[in-house]
Amino acid sequence: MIVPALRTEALKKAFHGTEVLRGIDLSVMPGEVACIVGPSGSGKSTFLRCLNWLSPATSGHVYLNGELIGEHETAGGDVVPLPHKMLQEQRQRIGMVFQSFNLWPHRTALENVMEGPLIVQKRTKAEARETAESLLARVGLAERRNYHPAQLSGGQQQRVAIARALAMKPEVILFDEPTSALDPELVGEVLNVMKELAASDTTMLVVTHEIGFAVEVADRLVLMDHGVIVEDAPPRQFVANPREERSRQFLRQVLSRGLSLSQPLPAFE
Amino acid sequence: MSIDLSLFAYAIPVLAAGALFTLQIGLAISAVALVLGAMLSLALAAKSRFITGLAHGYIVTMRGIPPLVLILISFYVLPAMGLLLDPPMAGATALSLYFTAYVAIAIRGAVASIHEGQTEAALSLGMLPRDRLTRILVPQAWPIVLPALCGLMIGLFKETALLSVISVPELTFMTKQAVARTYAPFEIYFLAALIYWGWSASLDALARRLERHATRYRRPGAKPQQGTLP
Repeated sequence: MIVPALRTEALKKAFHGTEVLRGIDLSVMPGEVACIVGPSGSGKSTFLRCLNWLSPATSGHVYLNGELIGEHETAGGDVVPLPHKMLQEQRQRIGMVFQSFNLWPHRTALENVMEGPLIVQKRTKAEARETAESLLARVGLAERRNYHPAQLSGGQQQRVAIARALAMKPEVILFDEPTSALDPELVGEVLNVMKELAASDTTMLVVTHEIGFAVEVADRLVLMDHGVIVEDAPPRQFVANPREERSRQFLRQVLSRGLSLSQPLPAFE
Repeated sequence: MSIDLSLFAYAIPVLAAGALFTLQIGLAISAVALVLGAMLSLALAAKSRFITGLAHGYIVTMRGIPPLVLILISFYVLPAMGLLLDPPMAGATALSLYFTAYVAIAIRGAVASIHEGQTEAALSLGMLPRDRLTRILVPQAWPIVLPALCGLMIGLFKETALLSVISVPELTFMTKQAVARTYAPFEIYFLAALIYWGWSASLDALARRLERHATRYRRPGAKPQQGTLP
């Protein structure tokens, strides 16, 4: 049996008594690309942030390749949060790409990508530099390696951020609305990089409004609403023949408004 | 009114000695307040409510007391409690403790102004607290806090004049002595004012240069650095 790269078990999250996540069970298999869509406020980003404990879940568990994340079982059988240092060890294995890029403005593109291997993984400067240069080349930014984030466009910044996440060789990468902060004409270049990652068997969990991208690239399309998973299906099946009424309603809204459809939907038989 | 050269020949060495003392005690107070203030700013961000409470209490207290009163307390009241300090020590202690509070506020404000996504990116890579502080937060907080600290330092150099009331031989005290000997308040106070202004103006110029240097990466038009790494 293949162990899921990422699995959640009854994940719940409440902010001051308001339940944002109401029990999420989701598995992403190795090499799989899952896109989570849903209306604003449906808990998508919160869910993603629970996975690497940036925002700890109220209850439920997260497993990375079968290993409990952010918690451990004591000798007495209780499950308690991990000490910070051990959580930081685990976080190295979960990449994250943020909506607002969150590049470090005082460092160049190359230095941003080198930071993880150099400081966290304690690799030599030469090694870190080599990794960073090849990754920047992979996202098409070899020429811009000595630029600071303020000198790069949003699309370029997000591609640097993707390279920064890749530099740690994570087992899964979480994308939190990676194109939502971009000007429309810059969305494509970021999605193209993500397509290339998907094609090379990177395990990806993507929160996005880009239905076109999801249909083209994802293995699974997951609709979240009000803190629960409404439907989880292969994207073509999801779009062509949704099982739930809520899914049909969501698709109607998205397609009628042409919301964030940077690329036209591929044709269906 | 003719300018009496012998007056300046007398006053300038006296005032220079005072100015040197002001510089020394001002730098010493700055250094102590910077270190204690940085520590206090960490206490302000502590997880323990008790520690943040203490830190806030300290700041509120220091903000509510005139520095002159603090100086008088440390010179006249502490000896009654068994702690006898000489005037420069008593004065430097009072002003250090006073400025510590303001340094902490400035540092805390600068760190709080850094977008939390900066820390989240570091957390998501698995960076440890010490590296997050030294590699992500401090380099970004530094250019923000720098102008505030320089402003505080200019204020501090002027506040050291208060130390004259407990006979610390700094610039104002020495100026008063010189005036008492020469009966020429106009020329001598003018000279002292000029010296204070000189300190402040040069600190201001230094601050602006440091700030320009520290924020060079923020200017989108700046040239990319070629082949340089930290």
